Amino acid sequence: MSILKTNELKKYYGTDSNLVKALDGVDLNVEPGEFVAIVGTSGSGKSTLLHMLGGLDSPTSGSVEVSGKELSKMNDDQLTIFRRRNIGFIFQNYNLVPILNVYENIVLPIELDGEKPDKNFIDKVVKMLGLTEKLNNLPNNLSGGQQQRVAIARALVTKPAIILADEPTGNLDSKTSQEVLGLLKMTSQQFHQTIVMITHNNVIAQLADRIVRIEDGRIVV
Amino acid sequence: MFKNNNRKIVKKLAVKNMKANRNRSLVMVTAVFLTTVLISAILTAGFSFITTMYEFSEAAPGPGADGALIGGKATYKKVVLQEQVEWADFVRKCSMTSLHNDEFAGVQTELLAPDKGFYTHNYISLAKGNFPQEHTQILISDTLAQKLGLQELGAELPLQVVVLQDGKELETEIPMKVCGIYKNPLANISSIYEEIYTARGFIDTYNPQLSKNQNLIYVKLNNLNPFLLKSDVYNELSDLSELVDADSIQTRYYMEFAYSFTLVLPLLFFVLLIMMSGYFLIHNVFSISLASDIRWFGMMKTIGTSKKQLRSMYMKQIRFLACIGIFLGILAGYGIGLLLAPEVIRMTDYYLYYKEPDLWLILCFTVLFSWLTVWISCSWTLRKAASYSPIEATRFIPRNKNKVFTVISFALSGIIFLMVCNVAFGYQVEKMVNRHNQDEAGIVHTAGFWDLNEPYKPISKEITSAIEKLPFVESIDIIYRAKTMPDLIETVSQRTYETFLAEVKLEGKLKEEIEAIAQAQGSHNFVQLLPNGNVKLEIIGLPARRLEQESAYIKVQEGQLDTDTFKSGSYILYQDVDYLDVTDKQIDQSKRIHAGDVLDLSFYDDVTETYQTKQLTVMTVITRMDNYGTGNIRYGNIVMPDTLFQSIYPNYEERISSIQIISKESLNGQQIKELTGLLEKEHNVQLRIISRHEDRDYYTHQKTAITILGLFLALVLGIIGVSNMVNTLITDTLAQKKTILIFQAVGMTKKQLWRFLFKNSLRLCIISGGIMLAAGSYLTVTVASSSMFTGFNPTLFGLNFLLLLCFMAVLCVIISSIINRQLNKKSVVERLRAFE
Repeated sequence: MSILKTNELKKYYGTDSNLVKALDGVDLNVEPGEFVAIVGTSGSGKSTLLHMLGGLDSPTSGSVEVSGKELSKMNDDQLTIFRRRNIGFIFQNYNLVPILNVYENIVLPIELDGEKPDKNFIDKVVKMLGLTEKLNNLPNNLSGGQQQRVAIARALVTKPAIILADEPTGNLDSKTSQEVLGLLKMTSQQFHQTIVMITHNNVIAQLADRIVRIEDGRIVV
Repeated sequence: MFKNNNRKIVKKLAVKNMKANRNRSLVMVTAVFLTTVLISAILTAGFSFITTMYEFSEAAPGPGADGALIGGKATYKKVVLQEQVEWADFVRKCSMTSLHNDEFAGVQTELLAPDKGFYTHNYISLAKGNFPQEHTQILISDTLAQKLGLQELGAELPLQVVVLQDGKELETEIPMKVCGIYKNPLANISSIYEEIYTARGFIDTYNPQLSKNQNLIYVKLNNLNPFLLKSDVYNELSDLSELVDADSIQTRYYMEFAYSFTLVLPLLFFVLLIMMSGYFLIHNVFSISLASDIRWFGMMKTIGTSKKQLRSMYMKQIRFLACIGIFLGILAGYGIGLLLAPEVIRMTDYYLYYKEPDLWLILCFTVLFSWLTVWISCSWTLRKAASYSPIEATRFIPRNKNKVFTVISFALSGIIFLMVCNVAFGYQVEKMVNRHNQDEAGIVHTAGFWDLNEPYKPISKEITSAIEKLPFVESIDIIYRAKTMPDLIETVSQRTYETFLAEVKLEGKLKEEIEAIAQAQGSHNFVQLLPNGNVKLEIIGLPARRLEQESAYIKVQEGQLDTDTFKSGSYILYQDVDYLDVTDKQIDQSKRIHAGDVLDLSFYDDVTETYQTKQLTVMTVITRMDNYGTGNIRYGNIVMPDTLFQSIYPNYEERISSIQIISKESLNGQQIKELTGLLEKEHNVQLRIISRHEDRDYYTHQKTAITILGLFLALVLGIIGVSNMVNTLITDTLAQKKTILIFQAVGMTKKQLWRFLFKNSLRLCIISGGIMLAAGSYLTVTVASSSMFTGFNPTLFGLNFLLLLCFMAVLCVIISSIINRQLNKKSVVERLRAFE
């Protein structure tokens, strides 16, 4: 059974002559534990697709199901809480909370949910991502690669059904990019974590189990 | 499913966020502080003004008390035991009537023997000397001392006291010595009322047979609701009276709640304006800081922070910061208000009545209004910010502010300024003096104004001829008013004697109109129908030649004023009995008396106890100029030439209501003193002198008071208006920061930027100016036309408007220059980098 499924997903902006079809009938299935890379050029609709998959934006038509739950049937609050519990995000610009230290950033989604952090699991993730010595640091004291590792840890600790990564290496140099992607791949395998990653870089996409190409809002491969 | 205990993390985030944004928190506290300062200062000063004006306009015997009960010592003992009574003071009247000294003419002067507590409770403080200890000592007011020229302690003042001897009232002269002079808390009514205090022993010595029950028990209640603005005094006092078996109650005239509320309305309007200004200030500060956080909102929502959690996180910070701002603001605002109000009031005649407002009232209102302002300003912005989807939030660009309120607020300040300047600076003392004085001076009988507290005593023939002989008097005009005896009105605890009213048989056309008015009068009850079928009317007789002079004080509704026709003795002026103008449109016109109607009027003459019937034609139907009509015939129902009056009333010499004194030149203080000397010889306390000279002094003071209060009002509103304008222009510029930056990046010079900013601010000023001109002229004409002021002055209005325009232009130049300088502090490249 697919952990992520889209059905005739469409997202249109504007009307008549100004109509822009950002997504035009996307059908996508992702199996549990799969590492999928969505590749496309700028303006192809890959970011829009990721937003739809994460419930960050609503589609014009079609549906998105995550773990068997249809996102469009949830209201804003339900969606937020669903996202908190089932979807992990990794962004190009890390999106860490600057006023919280590394540990607080990592456990933030769990605490927002009113749950107690699973110390053993967190230790394991932190150790694997090499953040043990940095737990008390504030994000602005970390390098780009380290910040992205914090973001990966934050995405992992809630044990989400799926992790959505939006150009996770976009702000990093090639060496650090390789390092981060290696970690992402490793966690995918070690925790049997489903990952959908967006990139415009074919080389990076090669690390994924499956590559999906998108052009003009449609999946082409 | 969604119920989790996540308060801890929300609180933690709130605290961390607040600590991380120290500058924002500081600006926020400052904004709340400033708003609270303004609100509490305005409330403190406003309530002081209202209380003071209230005390001033309601000044009455027992100024510190809520009212008085009439009763004896036994009643007093019961009163002090009641839990709703904060304090009570027993005051004995020493004379059967007010004092009969000639020098007290026209001024009801009471001799009282109060408890010691009365002095403290009723603001009787010594200017010099001591309180009376013996029955030969008296304490007089500074206003009376000035009138009598008795500034030295120990001076002798024989009092004409009316004592009760074997059931009869007897006027006796009793020698007394001034032991002290007090600052008169009833100074504003000192032209009609004075109190002299003596020791309790006076009654035992000189008036031992005086009734022991007709005493005043002044009471201060502690169960009044401060929010009802004293409109509940009468009911509470009535309850107390019933409880202690008092004979009756005596209260000041406390206004109905609805009317009192209208006094508070301008204050609430001010508070609303400040709230609006505070709203803009806080809203702008908050939305600027929030705009930079909206992207962060998006990120937080992405990782699972709900709208509620975000709102809660910010509201926690707002509550904390608002508490600090409000607390500090109240301290400062209350202090400023307390300092400001008496200083401003000190410059006016109202200072004697200054009272500090109730602290709790101020606290309650300030906290309420300040918190409401903070809540409204922040919650809406926050709600909107939290409602953005994560994607919308990342694309958020701040928008320009709505300028409608700014324009209105600025325009309002200008309108009030224009209005205040017009009524204050355009106030013409001479016009006011003329409005209340047809001639240089006059001797008037107080029965022409209100009921008397002792039997009517007419103006004598002697004074008339004595006045005529004065060198500065060119001529005199005698105005008569009919009065039917007996005129006694007796209630359980009071005896009064009616004003000038005379009986006329209710018949013919007069009957038709008066019965129609009586039916339509409702609860007003102003038609005085008598069981014998007569009606009481105000009947005036005056020299026909005065008609032209009096015409300036009345409105002609029908017919014409023709002196020769009037002089013939067959014509009258007629005014209906509805002096409140409540029945005007409810009466069938065919039942009304019109000009040209021939009336058969039967005037009752109480001397011969017969009716004098005359067939008279209504020459003119008249009405008062306004509700506060002046002039001798303002309330006259039937106005006739003096010759006709004399033929109807054989005792006309005893029915003189005023002697109008015509002189070649303006009378001075010395000449008024000569007139006062004559009046004192009359031995009639029911007479008063009115003069242009005294009124000129009074209205000059009024002008000063109106100007000071008006300018204060304009200043406060001006600050609010300008702060709003500055605030809006600054936040607007901040919202356009990126656009401006792009303009500059593609070649806009600093000069061009200044012009761009200047045009923006000028546009707002021009719109405000337009509203000021349109609404300001309408409101100013309306307010200036009221009887309190002396009319609209178009030149002054034009000049003030020009002044406002100049001020606005200068303001635009200053604001544009400041913003231009601030924007260009960093180079274009640096600012572009910051945006990226």
